[in-house]
Amino acid sequence: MTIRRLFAAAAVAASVAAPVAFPALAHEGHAHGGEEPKPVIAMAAPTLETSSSDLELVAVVQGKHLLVYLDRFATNEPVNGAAVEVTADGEAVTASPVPGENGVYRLEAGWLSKPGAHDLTVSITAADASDLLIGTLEIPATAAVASVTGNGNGVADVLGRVRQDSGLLLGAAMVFLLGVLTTVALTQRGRSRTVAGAALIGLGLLLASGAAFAHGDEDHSQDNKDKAPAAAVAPTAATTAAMATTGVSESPRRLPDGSLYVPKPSQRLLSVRTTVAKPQEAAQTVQLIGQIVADPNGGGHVQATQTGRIEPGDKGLPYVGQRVAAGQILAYIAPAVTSVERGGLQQQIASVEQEIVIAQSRVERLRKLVGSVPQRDIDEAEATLKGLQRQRAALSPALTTKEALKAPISGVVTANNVKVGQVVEGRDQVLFEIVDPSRLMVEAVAFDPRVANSVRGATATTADGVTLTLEHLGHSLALRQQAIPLLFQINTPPQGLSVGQPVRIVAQIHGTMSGIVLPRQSVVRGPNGQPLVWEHESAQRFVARPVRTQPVDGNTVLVSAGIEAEARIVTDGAGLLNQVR
Amino acid sequence: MKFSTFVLAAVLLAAPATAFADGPKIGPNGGARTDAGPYHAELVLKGNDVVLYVTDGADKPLDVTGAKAEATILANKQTQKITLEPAGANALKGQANLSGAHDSVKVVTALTMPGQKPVQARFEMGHAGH
Repeated sequence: MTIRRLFAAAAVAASVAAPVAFPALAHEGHAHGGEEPKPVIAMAAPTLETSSSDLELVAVVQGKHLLVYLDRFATNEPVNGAAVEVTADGEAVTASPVPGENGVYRLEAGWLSKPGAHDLTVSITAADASDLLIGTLEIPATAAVASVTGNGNGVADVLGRVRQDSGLLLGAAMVFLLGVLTTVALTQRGRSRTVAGAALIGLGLLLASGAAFAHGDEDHSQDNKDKAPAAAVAPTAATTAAMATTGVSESPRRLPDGSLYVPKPSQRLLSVRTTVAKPQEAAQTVQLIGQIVADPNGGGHVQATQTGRIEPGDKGLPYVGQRVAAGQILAYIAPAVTSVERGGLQQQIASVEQEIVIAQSRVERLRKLVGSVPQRDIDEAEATLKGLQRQRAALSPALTTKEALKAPISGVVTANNVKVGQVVEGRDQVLFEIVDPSRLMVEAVAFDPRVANSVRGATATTADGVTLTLEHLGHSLALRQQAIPLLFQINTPPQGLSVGQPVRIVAQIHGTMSGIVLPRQSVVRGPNGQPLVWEHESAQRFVARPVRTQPVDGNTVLVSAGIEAEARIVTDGAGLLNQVR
Repeated sequence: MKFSTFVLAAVLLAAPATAFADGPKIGPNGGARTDAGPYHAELVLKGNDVVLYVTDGADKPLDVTGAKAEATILANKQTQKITLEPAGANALKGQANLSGAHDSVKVVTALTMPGQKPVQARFEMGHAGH
């Protein structure tokens, strides 16, 4: 009982809204199976929605003008530069593009001020698409009356008339009160209440039709045949007025069934784009956690071979983040010489110098005796002198020569562990680390050996949303903390990666799965945290479809359940649509 | 009370009823078939002939004597308007300049059965459907 009563109330409400609503009703004549009843969307202005396989068209009456919004059916992109010709009532009018707007065309026609149903044929010729579209535009009596006074939806006209006439004002107030009472009566239990509700409806309709016929000096030639629609339209005008004053009608809003009504201008503003769902085969994937590491051939350590004191290179010590070239001197090491070593060296130098003096005098003496001494003795003496001089030359710089520390590869300095003057030990200390940013790798860990054996390709996503294409290099045969390390090479690494950065990896493994591949931004979270996509169900209506997804790679997901093939799914702007309340 | 409410709702609801076309189907004459108001209409292009067959909702042929029809044809990016005349049984015939191109031709017909309001139908020729 209660359900039937509620349904009755809903039916009354729907029928009252119907004349201005998008007429989404199955036609009479024969039944069509499987058509879902669409919710009635109350719109402030008479609207026509139609589409073909290429184009989608929404025409909105705005005063004396008809605004035509033209978009591509599949992608929801506005169509610019099209020639749009609208034929109705045997009159063909060419629409001109609205300057500064994308895919909006405007035309002015006489039939727009005539109430009733108009069959429209729209001929569209664009650079790459031409089409003929049809549809019926229902112009309610109030809109036509209002358009005579130059207002778009008849709201201001009705309001103005109500303000001028105190009787009408009183009537409007009573209608409003009646509406409230009726709603209360219909939603309550009890026989007396329902009887009261019925009485109130009757009274309300009487009043409303009275108001509709009470207007002043309009043309009454159509009154006879328009009595029933006029009675229906009068309360509609009241609802329209309520909607327009609150500004609800032209903004996106959530409908009672959870779907969204998004007018074309809002769609343009949010730049809503769609894609047509196509079933595809995609590789099965697993998700892994990894981090960025340096390529062993693209990373270098600089170490000292002897104990000594750090001295800056020609350009000072390299700082972290500096780009260095292979062979560039980063620092010098002045060898640390103990006093004992120094004493020994000086002793050696002294004895060599002493021998040099002796050898020198011997050479000079023998040279004076050329001819009387054998040439062999002279040559020997000279060779001894030269040898001693070389010894001296080799000994003297041992106290002062520095070791140059050179960059082993070109890259960016990622660690600098020394300061000027610091004394470093040989070998065991890494002084500088250099990484080649064009040769980075990703190391992941897998816990399942089957995954490690069947990885074919992978993509990785960093925390800031950068996607990396990976190439699988191999995996270790030795477990590390019960996990198998996997190594991937990054193809053309982007700027801004750093070693140690964590990444989320989607690895493709053997085997395929079928479903609909969508960009990742299509999938948003519903209020209950459930993943969902928005389907562009009709020109200005979007429906949330809960889905089951699985990542394909960093940018795309595979929807394995929840949407049908050929459905138009929102790609860009899904997050914004999701926020419409 | 409930019954009267339903009647009221039905009366108010009946006013703005609009036909919604089905997806293109193939009719008995081999042409694209779609809904045209309360009727079914099938359009066949043969050479430069344009033939419109009219049946009722149950696909029974309707006599089109006294009916009028207009066709707007978009072919090769050119729009042309032709008149279709009754040509016996349930067919209305006309001539258009199609130059043999039947693929991706779009046709909109406005059919006026005797004593009825005009009803529109839209056909996409050479498309398997969308």
